[in-house]
Amino acid sequence: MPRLSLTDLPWLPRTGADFRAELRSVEQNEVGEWGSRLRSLSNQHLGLNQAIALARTLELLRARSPSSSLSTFRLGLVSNAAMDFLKPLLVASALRYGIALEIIAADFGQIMQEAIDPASLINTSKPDAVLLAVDHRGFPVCTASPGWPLFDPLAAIDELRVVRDALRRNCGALSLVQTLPAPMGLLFGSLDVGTSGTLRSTVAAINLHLARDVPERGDVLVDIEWLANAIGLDEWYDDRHWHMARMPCAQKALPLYAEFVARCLAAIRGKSRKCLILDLDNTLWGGVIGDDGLEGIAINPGDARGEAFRAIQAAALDLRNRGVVLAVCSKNEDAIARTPFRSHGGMLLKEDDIAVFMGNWDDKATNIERIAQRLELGLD
Amino acid sequence: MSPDDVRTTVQRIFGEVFEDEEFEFSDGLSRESLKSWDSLGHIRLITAIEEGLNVSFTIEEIESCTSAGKILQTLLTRN
Repeated sequence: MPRLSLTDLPWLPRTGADFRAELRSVEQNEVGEWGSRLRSLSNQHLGLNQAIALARTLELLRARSPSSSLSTFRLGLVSNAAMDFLKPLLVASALRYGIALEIIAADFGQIMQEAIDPASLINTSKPDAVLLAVDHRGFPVCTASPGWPLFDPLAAIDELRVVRDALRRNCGALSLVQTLPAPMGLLFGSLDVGTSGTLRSTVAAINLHLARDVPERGDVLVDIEWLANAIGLDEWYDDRHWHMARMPCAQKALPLYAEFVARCLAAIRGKSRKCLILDLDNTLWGGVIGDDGLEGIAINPGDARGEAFRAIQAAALDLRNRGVVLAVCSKNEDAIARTPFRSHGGMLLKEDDIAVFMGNWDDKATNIERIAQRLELGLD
Repeated sequence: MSPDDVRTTVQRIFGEVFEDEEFEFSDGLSRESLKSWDSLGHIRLITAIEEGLNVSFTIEEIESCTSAGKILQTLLTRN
């Protein structure tokens, strides 16, 4: 199997060959509630063409009857880039969080005009939030006078402030403000980062300001800078697509970009994931506790497999420490399944860290329902 | 990849990218003959071909690939 990269959304299942047939069957028959069926179809890795098909089906069905299981969200979209390809992917990603997204997109480049004119498309559409998808190519970062400095962050910071205030005043919408990916080009190589007046230091100064100012003023930050760094700037930017069609980034980065924005929408709607359910054998440790025994499982420091499973446990502990509830669901004898938590020195997770422990031979779906009941959480 | 394989792959990609339209694949299939082969459709098509065949087109090539025949011709000069 080829290695999946972050842009492939490796945590989602791959789509089957019958994706389009399934979409058609949701469109055609009335079996079950269409919202929940579309939602389960969205929980796969969808490329642009599949997202277009899914968004089209959603639009068709929404026009026919409202869905009882999806909540609605109106998102305004303004950008210095062409958002045509991001739109269907945003719709598909929001569905993963139970949101039927409606997008009102301003014309390309109309950022300030849309914000300050009370009669603009965005302002009259009364969106719940507006995504300001603007990167360094859309801000007044070049200084007007010739000579040094070439770039300055203040005009861009002011412009963003004016846009956000105007949106709040004219349509009451939250702004979703993106941090700016670092530019590719350097002028003085390694000196750029520490030299004010370069584009790199200017973008960094804008991001630093946004990280503080956006949450302080009740808006929402979308950390696209991190996203671009995580996949690599060389993968993020696609100059051909920028010059031909003003695409903000490479097409293959769009599904991840959309997923990242959708998570912010989910958080605004209170639909962030609240519980992490963990399997045990070959998930929290290497091997099978029932067969390999306490001494046989891989969870010791100093051993490569053990270190890898400890890293998983450390990540789960971090989530617990930020308030995510941990649960265990494993096909095992309960007492045997609990033994490593109680008496293996290599385990980072202890029994107390697990809010609900389901070690039995019942099917996973039933156990997950039980966990949700016990925690009084919904299954969404 | 043989010229036949390239043709088969390109034909499959056309079907996936323009799946909402009925059309016959041939060398003569051009941007004028498909409604969804507009400027955005063109970029979706080119990107899908680049991914599917692991090639990269220049801007000049992308602009001149206005029919299935021209795309196949451009691809075959790569081999």
